[in-house]
Amino acid sequence: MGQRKQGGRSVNGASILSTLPEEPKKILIAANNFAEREGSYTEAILLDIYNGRERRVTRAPARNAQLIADHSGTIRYAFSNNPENDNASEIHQKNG
Amino acid sequence: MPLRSTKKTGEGWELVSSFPSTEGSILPVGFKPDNESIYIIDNAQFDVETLFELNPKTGERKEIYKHPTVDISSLEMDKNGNLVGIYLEPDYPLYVPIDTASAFGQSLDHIHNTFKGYRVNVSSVSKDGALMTLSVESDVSLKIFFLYQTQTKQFVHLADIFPAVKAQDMAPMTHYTLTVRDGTSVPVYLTLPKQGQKPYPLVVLPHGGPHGVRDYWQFDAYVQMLASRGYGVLQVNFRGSGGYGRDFLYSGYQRWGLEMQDDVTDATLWAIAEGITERDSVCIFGGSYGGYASLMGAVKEPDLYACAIVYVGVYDLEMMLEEGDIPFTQAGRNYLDQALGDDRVDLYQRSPINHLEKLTAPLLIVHGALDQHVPLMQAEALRERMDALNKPYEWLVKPNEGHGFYNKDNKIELFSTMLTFLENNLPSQPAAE
Repeated sequence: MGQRKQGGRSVNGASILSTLPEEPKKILIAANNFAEREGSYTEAILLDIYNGRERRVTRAPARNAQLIADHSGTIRYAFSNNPENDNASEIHQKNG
Repeated sequence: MPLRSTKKTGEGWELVSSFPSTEGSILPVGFKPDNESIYIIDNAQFDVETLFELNPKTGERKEIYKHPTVDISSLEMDKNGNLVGIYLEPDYPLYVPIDTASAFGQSLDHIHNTFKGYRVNVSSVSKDGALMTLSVESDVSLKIFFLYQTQTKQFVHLADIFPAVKAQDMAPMTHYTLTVRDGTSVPVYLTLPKQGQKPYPLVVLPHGGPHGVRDYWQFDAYVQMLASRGYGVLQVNFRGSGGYGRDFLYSGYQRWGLEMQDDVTDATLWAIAEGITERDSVCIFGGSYGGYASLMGAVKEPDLYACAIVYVGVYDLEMMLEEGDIPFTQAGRNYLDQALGDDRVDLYQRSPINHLEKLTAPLLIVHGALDQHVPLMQAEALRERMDALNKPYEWLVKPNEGHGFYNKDNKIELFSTMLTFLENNLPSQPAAE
């Protein structure tokens, strides 16, 4: 979380990837740092919704990528219009 | 090359599909219950977005659904990943049921049958499936929320998003598909006021974006504001608009001021030919790209528009390549290259600011001083040229607004300024008492 301020919040946007039905206290979210000029590499974060603790799960291979989790909450795909490849529509698959 | 970023992360990512931005895309939307096969929405293989099931291990694909003319809007899935239905927006909202056998599928069917003629969105389902929250909306109604009890099939009203807006006072929207000068089909939405009669004074309202954006059959505060004062409103999904397939979308690239504009012109001529309105009774108003299209309409078709309102618009395409937050990023520069190209002579020609000597319509210029997307200097450049040509205009710039007015007081001032300007240049019919 390079640009995130210690103990505080910079300009982050997040969305829910999975409510993780098997883990009542935790959800899986995708987060982007809006302060990064070219858009950040989307991060998947395991968030404890009772104490706010976060654990980084993985980082997308492209900026502003949309992450897709399977039913177990495992990140399996990243979709992006990759600005480093002339906005090409790319799918990355996560193997392990 | 695209694989560079894969190597950089070192987290097991592998590039499995890549399409240049002119050749469509494949979007994975969710896993099937087996956690292996995925639903993908693909607009690379066919012109419109098509739903497939894909097994990534075997590469086997199965086509599930393709509409003849429009893209897929969204999917209804149950909590296990079973596909229940598909939402589309051909003319009015359409729900295509896929699973009508499961309890969830039957509930969805019942909900859609109960709220025929509305756009329905199921926002949440309880773990045991007994309760759902949903919203319904229409051309004359903002979202109304309900709790649905699946056992008793009872709907409990929860809340209206904007209770002061009474559906019976709002003006309905009708969809038409027009055939324009080169034979292309162009969808439009027409809203007629509840007061007065044909021919109505008409405001043509080209949407912003423009690429990949479209107008829908839905409540729109600007449309209803105009209709409530006796104006018909014509919204045109000119080429370049999204939702109608790849060819229609891509046919707008680098055609600003050309076919994209002529589609708006031809829709206006259709409204005149149909007697919905008449010559000298039409104004044009739009924001952002719609501001571009409004000024371009006024200079390209000076006999067609009796007045023009340009709102947070782009008037100089060469300036657009340099200023604002779009050229600030690589993704934005890629977009500009695709949408506008970089032929300076061509961009000069397609910039309405360079054709103001042809402008005869009274002009209202509106901008937010803090607009980062289309900076105020677009409006200031327009004002400078108008002054140099000694042409009159009205000017409304608010210091605390960005790309569109959101502050309540500013919005009231915008609406009342617009209505006074319209009343002076396009009188509406007196309200029936």
